Amino acid sequence: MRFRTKFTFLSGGLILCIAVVITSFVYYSLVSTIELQIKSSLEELAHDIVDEIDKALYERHSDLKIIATDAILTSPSSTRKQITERLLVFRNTYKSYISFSFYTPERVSIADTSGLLLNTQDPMSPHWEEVLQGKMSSASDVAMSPSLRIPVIYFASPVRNSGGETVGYVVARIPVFKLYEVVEEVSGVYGGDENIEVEVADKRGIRIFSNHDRGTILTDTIYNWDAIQKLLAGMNVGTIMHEHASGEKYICALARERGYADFRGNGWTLAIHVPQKLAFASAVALRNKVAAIFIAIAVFTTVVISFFARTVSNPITKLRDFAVKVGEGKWDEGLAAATQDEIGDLAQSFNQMVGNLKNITASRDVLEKEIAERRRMEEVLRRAEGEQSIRNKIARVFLTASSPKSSEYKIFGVN
Amino acid sequence: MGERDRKRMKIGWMNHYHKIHVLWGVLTIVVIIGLSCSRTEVKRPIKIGLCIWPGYAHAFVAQEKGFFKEHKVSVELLLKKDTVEVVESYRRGELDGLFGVFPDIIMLNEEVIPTQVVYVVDFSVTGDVIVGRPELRSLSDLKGKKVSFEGINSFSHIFVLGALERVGLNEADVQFEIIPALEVLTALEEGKIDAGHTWEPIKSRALQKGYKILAKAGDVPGVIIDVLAFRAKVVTERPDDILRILRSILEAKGFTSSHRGEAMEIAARAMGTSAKELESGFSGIQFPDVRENLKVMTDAKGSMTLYRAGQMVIKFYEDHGQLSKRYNLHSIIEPCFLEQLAREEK
Repeated sequence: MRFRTKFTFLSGGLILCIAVVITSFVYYSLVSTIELQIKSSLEELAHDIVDEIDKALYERHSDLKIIATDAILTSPSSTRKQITERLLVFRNTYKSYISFSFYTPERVSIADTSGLLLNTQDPMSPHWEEVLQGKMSSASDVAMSPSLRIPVIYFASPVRNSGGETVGYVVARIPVFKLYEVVEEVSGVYGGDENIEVEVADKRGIRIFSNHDRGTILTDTIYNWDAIQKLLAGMNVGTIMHEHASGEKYICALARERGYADFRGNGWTLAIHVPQKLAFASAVALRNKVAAIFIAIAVFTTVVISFFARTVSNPITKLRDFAVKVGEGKWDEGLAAATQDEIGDLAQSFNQMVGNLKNITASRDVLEKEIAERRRMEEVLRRAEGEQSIRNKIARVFLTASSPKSSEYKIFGVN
Repeated sequence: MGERDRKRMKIGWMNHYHKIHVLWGVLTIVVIIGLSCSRTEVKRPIKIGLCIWPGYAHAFVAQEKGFFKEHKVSVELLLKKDTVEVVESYRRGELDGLFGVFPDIIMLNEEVIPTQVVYVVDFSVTGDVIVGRPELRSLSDLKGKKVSFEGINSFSHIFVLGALERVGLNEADVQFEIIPALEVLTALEEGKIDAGHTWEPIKSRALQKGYKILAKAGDVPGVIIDVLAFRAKVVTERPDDILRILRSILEAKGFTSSHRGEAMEIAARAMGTSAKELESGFSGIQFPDVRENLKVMTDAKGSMTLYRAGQMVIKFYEDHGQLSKRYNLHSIIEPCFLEQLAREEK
């Protein structure tokens, strides 16, 4: 792998590692902070909603206390029509009730604002158990109304004459959907994210309100009822993290009904479920932004580093190519020093070195030439000396032959 | 090193250089494709609830003749027993929209189920009736008698109370029974009630058996306006599909005009009634065209508009202690689709 590639990958990898570490740190720090904030604000919201529900129920409780003392209802001489018309006035004035009924002490309906199920005996139910004991029943019974065929919250009270004798019972019904108005007004959950689930359970855990799953009202218990009961033992608010059947994880803030003034409450529990992905959306968004910024930085830095590595590797490559040429004996090409840094200095030094080498090599060649010339001259001289020696010898031979003793020798030539 | 080796080396080096950029490019494309795929949602069919009512025949014709498919919208029509069941199913979140009656849409909004009307299907003039025993001469004779309606605070309840109030009777003068419109004849025959609110096909069957019409929808104007409404969320998120649904229904309406017999057969088969009974119901209702529809949905001062009808209904509910807040009908009536259709018609 080439220097530039190695350098680019190393730097890019390093930046990415730093990015992952910082992003994770930011995210997990934020998540824990946000979790605390969310728990706190949700508990506060749950507390406020329950307070509003209690106030609304207290108002109805107070309404019924007044209605139960109404002169027409308490008078033994009132006719069925008079009672019905009086109840219609209450219904039309208070604007919270879907219907009012008046029953005889035997639980037989003699007046009803809806005109439904008249002259029939009402079956026993939790609100009847309370009023037959002479007590008021305020929202302790949430059930499907046999006459209206919709889920209602019952308020009931004995009606006593001036002598304190029970002359009948007045029963008021509030449609469960009226709770939606209270929850909506306080929390604005409908206008906000519809993934926020709000539900109310009675003291048995039966769902009496759900902004999400209206089909299960009065038929199912709320999510995780056992865990909620344990958590709220001796407490009014709390938070749990749990998973719904869909597999989605939720933060669930809980608040228990405490009552208001002389309305004691009925042990209802309100639960606000917020999907964790929604709760931590801001942290996730920040994490994604940080990650995106780091990725952008990593890309930009990698490109810059790649170009920088090129400025380093290119002169080195040129130097290498030049070294190859010098090795081939091509002394005449110089190396241009493109940069004013250590690499430029190296190129200059390399040029200088090559120049020096060139000079040294040139001197050596001259010397070698001289030596070779001298050797040649020596050879020539040696040969010349040899020839002279032969000539001398010949001369001696000729000189000897001219004497009588040497007449018998014949010289043919000398090379 | 030869020139060729150096060139080869350079090409190799360039390959490395390009690989980095190619790698980033591929990563970017993968991320973009991933993001776009994550946002692509397979559209589920729009579920619309409806009950047996001649005015809703066009919806079945649109389905049977493939007009919904033709307009590239997936619609599931869910036929329920009565309007109460349609509203209950919608309340439970099982439906995206419903063919219903305007007062019911107002009550759904009161129950914090934001719902918007996008189309006026029909006005009932003689389609809805109160049928009573033969011996009853008029509504006034119902004093002390038992009358049925479909559900508490439903359009049926308003219609019956409105009709009784016109002859000076109030809730204290009459007893009531909750009975679905399609079971009124049986209830009359069993002696459970003396009169009841119903429509076709029960209306014709009751008349055949000698029962008498005591009041018609036209006697209480503005109450029985059949509309097509959707959850506000659906209106916001799938406006194109709603427009396609309306185009399909208008096409079905056109088909019904030109092939009345076939259309009646289709709708009767889907509703489990006879074409003859359906045809009889058709004559008692008015179907506004696109222009009339737009006028009904936008003109706040006209005599027969949704605004006027809405104000009457709201006042009725308020007087009867059933509404706890003032309603802005603009949030319930959404005419933008009809405006678009009216533009297309020009």
